[in-house]
Amino acid sequence: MSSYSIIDPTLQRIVIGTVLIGLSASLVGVFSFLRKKSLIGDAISHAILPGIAVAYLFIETKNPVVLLIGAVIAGWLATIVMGGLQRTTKLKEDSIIAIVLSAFFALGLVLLSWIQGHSNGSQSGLSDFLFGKVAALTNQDVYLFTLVGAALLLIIGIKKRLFYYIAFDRDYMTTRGFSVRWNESIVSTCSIFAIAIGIQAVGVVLMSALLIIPVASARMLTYRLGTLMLLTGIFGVVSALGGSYLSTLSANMPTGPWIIMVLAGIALLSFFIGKLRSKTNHQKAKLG
Amino acid sequence: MNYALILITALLVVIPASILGVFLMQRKMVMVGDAISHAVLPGIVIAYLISGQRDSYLLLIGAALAGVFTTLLIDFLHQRMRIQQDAAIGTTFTFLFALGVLLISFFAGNNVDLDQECVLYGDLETSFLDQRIWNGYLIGTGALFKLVPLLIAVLTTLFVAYRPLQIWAFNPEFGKQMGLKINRWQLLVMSLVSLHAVLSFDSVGAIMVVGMLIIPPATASLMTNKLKQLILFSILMGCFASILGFFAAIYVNVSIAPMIVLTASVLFGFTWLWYYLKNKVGKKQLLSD
Repeated sequence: MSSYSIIDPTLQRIVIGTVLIGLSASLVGVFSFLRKKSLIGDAISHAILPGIAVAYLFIETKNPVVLLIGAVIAGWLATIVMGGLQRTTKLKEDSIIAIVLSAFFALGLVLLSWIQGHSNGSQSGLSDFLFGKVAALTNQDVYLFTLVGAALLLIIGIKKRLFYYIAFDRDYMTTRGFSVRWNESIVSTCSIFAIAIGIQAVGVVLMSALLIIPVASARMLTYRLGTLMLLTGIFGVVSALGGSYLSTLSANMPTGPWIIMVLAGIALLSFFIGKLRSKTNHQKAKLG
Repeated sequence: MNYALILITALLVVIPASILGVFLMQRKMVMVGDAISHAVLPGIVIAYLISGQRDSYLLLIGAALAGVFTTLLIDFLHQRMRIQQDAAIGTTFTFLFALGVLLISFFAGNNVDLDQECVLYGDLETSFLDQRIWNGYLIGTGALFKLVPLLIAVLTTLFVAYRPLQIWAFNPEFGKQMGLKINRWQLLVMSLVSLHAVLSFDSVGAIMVVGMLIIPPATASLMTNKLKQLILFSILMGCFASILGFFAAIYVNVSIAPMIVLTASVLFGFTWLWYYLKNKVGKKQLLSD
């Protein structure tokens, strides 16, 4: 494993793939974090499992485009069900998230165990989606990720101010005449896509960490949106790369848990830096 | 006979979950319950590595500590590190769960008892193999010996402490003014939740627990809003879903625990439809009057 060189195509592929995943997932996470609805990402990432299982069941290939379509449809369905429950019942938000999460995930597991019981042979790759495996990335995957990642970054780049205002003051933006619902559905679509490409590396079970922890760490260091997004992106990329590297050190390791270990380290570090800085700022204020 | 043992095990997992879930739902702490059920994994793995077996009291202690540690960590992140509640929950459980998965994959070569699959599905299918024979009579299985005391503990708590739990669930401020130690009742319920997560881990895994905690109570909450009926309906819903899901799983030959949760979700879906239509008709009548 140590004989990787810079021009090794496998390594290049893995590096590009993980950078794209880390960047898009962490940046999309910023807006759901600011709206204090981070756990919706958890529900969506669990809900994607049946989508992948169905796509795999019917097409019987691991063609990334088909899997992405399946994942995105499942994610959308989950979002629609959550919205419906919110509008028509008095259930609280955390209950709704837990219901959708467990219902979709149970469906996914039932389908998965059905596939394992009925089809023959090469379905083993499907369980890589549970805890992630960057080594399983193919060239096709990376092309697709580049496309989706670039589109996501473009949308975020163009509309970040608007998303930011909506996250902080919905009512004001409604009175200003912006279509809040339309923009919120763009945000949730972006998160669905980011999650759908991210599960290759992190897995459905732990995907929400890549949406939540980078922005939570960055938030301890800054209040400004631009800096926040920059730091979040850096944290996302560093953790995705670091975690993938650590997971290759021993054979048969899932990538997702390692990425989260790196993220936890970053969070701890930002906490101490933040504490240190606020202490020195207090002292400066006292002196001045 | 084997089927009966499996079904009884499933019921014993679902009934305490349905009761505890009602309180979690009222206090908006369902995701904390989810976090606990994920976070007992490293506790279970570490206790298993130390003791070398799956049924030990060390396991109980290790995992219960992990459960309490989760709530403390969430509070620490929320209050000290100033991370908002939802992100604190997300950070805590993903970190602890990742730790557990890593520990499993480090030591997966040494044993076959504990692997990534059983974390997800649980081993309800093989729970009847661990039979306890006394004087030649079958008196239960390993899973039953763990789950029956849990059920007794939950039911005892419910009957003895119904009033304080009710006040805690619906109006903690009022309880505080009456001099009730609200935090202690909350700790009691949370420790029951983490005990439940630990004891049912073998049977249903770490992730399906949250479905059993929330879906039956949520279904019941669409039918009534009185606490006693809520608990009763929740238990009935859970039992009905377990029985139906169990036979469905046997029939199509899939994993049982996810099938039970899926059945419960389908029942929830029907109840939701009924609730929606009832409200629509009710509104129309109101308008026409």
